[in-house]
Amino acid sequence: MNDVHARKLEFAECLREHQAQLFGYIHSLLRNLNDADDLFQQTSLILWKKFGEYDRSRSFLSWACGVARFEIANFLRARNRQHLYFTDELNLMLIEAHEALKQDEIDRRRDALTKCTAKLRMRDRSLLEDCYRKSSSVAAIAEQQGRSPQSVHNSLRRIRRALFECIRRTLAQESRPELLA
Amino acid sequence: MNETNDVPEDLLDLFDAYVQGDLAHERLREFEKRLLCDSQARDYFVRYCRMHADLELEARARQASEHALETINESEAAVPAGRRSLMRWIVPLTAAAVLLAVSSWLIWKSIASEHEEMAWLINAQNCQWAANMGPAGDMQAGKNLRLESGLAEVCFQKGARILMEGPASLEIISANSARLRHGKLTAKVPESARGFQVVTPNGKVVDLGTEFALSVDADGVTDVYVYSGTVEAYADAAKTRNFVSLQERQGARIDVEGVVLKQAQPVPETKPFVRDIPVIVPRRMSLDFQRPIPETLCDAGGRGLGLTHRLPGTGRRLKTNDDNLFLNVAERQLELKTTNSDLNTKYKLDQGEYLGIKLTDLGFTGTEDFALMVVVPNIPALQKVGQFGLYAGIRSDHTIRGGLLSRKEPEQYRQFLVQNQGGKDAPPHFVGLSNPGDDIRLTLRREGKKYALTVENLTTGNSTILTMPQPNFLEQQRDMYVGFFGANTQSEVRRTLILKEFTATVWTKNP
Repeated sequence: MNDVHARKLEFAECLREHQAQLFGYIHSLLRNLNDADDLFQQTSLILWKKFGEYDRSRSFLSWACGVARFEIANFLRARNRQHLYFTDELNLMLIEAHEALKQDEIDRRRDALTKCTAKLRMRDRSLLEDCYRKSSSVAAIAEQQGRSPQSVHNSLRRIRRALFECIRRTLAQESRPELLA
Repeated sequence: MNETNDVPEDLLDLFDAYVQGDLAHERLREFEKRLLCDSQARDYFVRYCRMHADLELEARARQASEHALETINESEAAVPAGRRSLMRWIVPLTAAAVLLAVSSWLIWKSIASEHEEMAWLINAQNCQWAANMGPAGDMQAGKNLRLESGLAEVCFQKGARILMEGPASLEIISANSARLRHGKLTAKVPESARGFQVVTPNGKVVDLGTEFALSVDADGVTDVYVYSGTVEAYADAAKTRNFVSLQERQGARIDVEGVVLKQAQPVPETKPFVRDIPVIVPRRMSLDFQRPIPETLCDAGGRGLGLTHRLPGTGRRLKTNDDNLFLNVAERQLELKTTNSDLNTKYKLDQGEYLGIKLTDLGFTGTEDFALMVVVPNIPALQKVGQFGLYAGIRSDHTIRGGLLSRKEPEQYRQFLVQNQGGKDAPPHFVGLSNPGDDIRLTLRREGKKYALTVENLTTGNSTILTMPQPNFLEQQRDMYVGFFGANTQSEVRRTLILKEFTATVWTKNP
C-alpha cells in the first residue's frame, strides 16, 4: 500500500514537472484546446497505468510524449484526419524540440505575450478576442463584419506574426546584459 | 535559443497555416520536409505553437475547467470503488493543467472590451496596497488605487504607462486619463496615447507624446517636470497664468494661485523620481579556498583566507597570523580550530573566531536582501553547547546568528537561531538533529525584514529552516558584518571545523 502511495507521489511529481511541455506538445499536434484537454487527461491515466514500465534512466517527458503520440494518432485516425498528421520521424524530433523548451522560457514568453497583446491596436485586439475567447469561427466573424473569410484569416495571420515577432524582440532585449545597456 | 535571428517569412506563413489548420496536403508534406532538415525551424515552430496555445488556453480556460471537472465527476461515479482513490487523486493533476491555462488569463485582461477595463497592472515591486484599493478586480473607470509603498507600473488602454511610487493615490478616469490625488508618478506616453491627461487637485497636465514626472504634495501642490517631448499644464483657479507649455527639461508648479514655470532643475530636489522599476542585481563573493588571497585575514602560515573582517568586538587577542586557522589549499578548505568563547554572556570574545566580510564591500547600503552560505563537511563532535554557524551583525553584542549547537545529548546537534542584544541571547529557537560526521550546508538569508537559517544535511538529504523577524537593532544598519564562527562554549575541548565554499550575496538595485 505504501509502495503504491510512494509511486503515486513520484508520478505526480514527474507529471507536474513536465505538464506544461506535455500539454504544449499535445496541443501543437491537435491545435485545439478541447481535444488537447481530453487527450491530456486520457494520456495522464495511461501514463499512470504504465508507470511501472517507465525506465527511470530516460527522460519522463520523452516517454510521456511517446505515449501521447500513440493516443493522438488513434484519436486522429478515428476522426479520419490522419493526413494532417506528421510522420513518426518528425514527431520524435518535435518532441526533442519541446523538451529543449525550458519552463523559464515558456514563462518569459507568456509574460512577453501579455505585454505584446497590450500593444496591439484596439481593432486587432477585438478580433483576437472574437476568434479565441468567444471561439467564433472565422466564417462567422467574417459575416458579422461584412468581410471575406480570407481577409479575416489574413488579419489573424498578421496579428499572430506580429505577436510572435514582438515576443522575439522582447526576449532579445531581456537577454542583453543590463550593465552594458 | 538565439533570439536575435529573424524567422524566414515563408516559414512563418507555413506555421500560421498549420496552426490555423488549413495547410493542404501537398503543402503539409513540403512543410514536413523543411522541418525534418532544419532544427532551428523546429525550434521556432514549437514556439509558434506554444503562442497559439497560450492565446487559446486562456480563451477557453473556464470552459475547459468545467469540462474537465464534469468528466472527472462522471468517471468517479462510474468506476468501481477500488479505482476511486486514483480518480480522486487525478483531480489535482487535471486541475493543475487547468491552472496552467488560467495563469495566462492576464493576456486577456488586455483584450477585454472598452467598457470593462481602462488600465492594467504590468509590473510591480515590493507593493503594499491599501485594503480594497489594490489592482485586483476590474480596473474600470472610477477605480481607485492606493499604493502604500513600493513601485507599480500601470498601462492604460491607449498605451500610456505610469509608474507610481508609494505612497500614492490614483484614480483611473478613462482609457487615457487618471487623477493623481497625492504622491509621485512618472509617465511614458507613446504616440497612440497622445493627449494622455493627469488631473491633479488644482489643475491638470496634458501630455503630447513624451515622458514626464508628476508629484502632488499633501496640500495638493503639483510639480511637473518634462524629460522629453511636450507637456501642457493647466491651472483650475486663476484667470491669468492658467496655462503653460513645457518643453524638455522644463518644470512647472500648479497650485491654487495658478501655474508657473519653475527654474529648470531635476525634480524633485530631494529624492529622484523612479522612471523604471529597478532591476535587482546580485553581487556575490565566493571563496573556494583554492589559493591564498593577499591582504586578507591570515592563517597560521600567513596565507590570506580571502575573508577581510572579523565581527567587531571579537578576536582582539588573536594573532595576525591566527594559530587557529589553516588554509588547506590542497584540500580546498579552511580549517578552523574552535576556541572557548561565547557571544551569549560575552565570554572571552577577544579569542572568539567570528570571521567574514563587511557587506558594504558588496554594495550593501542597509536595506538590500542578502545571503551567506557555507559548507561544513564531516562535522566534528563538539562538547556541550559547542556551536558553529553563520552570523550577521554590527558588533559582537548586536547580532543574529544561527547554525548547529551541541546539547546535552551526546554527539547530537540541534539547529538554532538566536538574536543577541547587549550580550544576551534571546529568544533562542531550536529544531532538528544532526550527527557528527554529517556534511552540512548552512545558509543565512535576509529577505525583506525576515531572517531565515537553512540547515541542509547533505548526508541525509534533509533540511530544516528557522526564521525570525529582523530585530529592530539591525534595522537600516549599514555597517553589517557577516561570516561564520565556531566555538567550544562551556568546555575546553577544542575541535577542528572544515569550511568549504563560502559565499556571500547582496541583491543590489541597479540604478
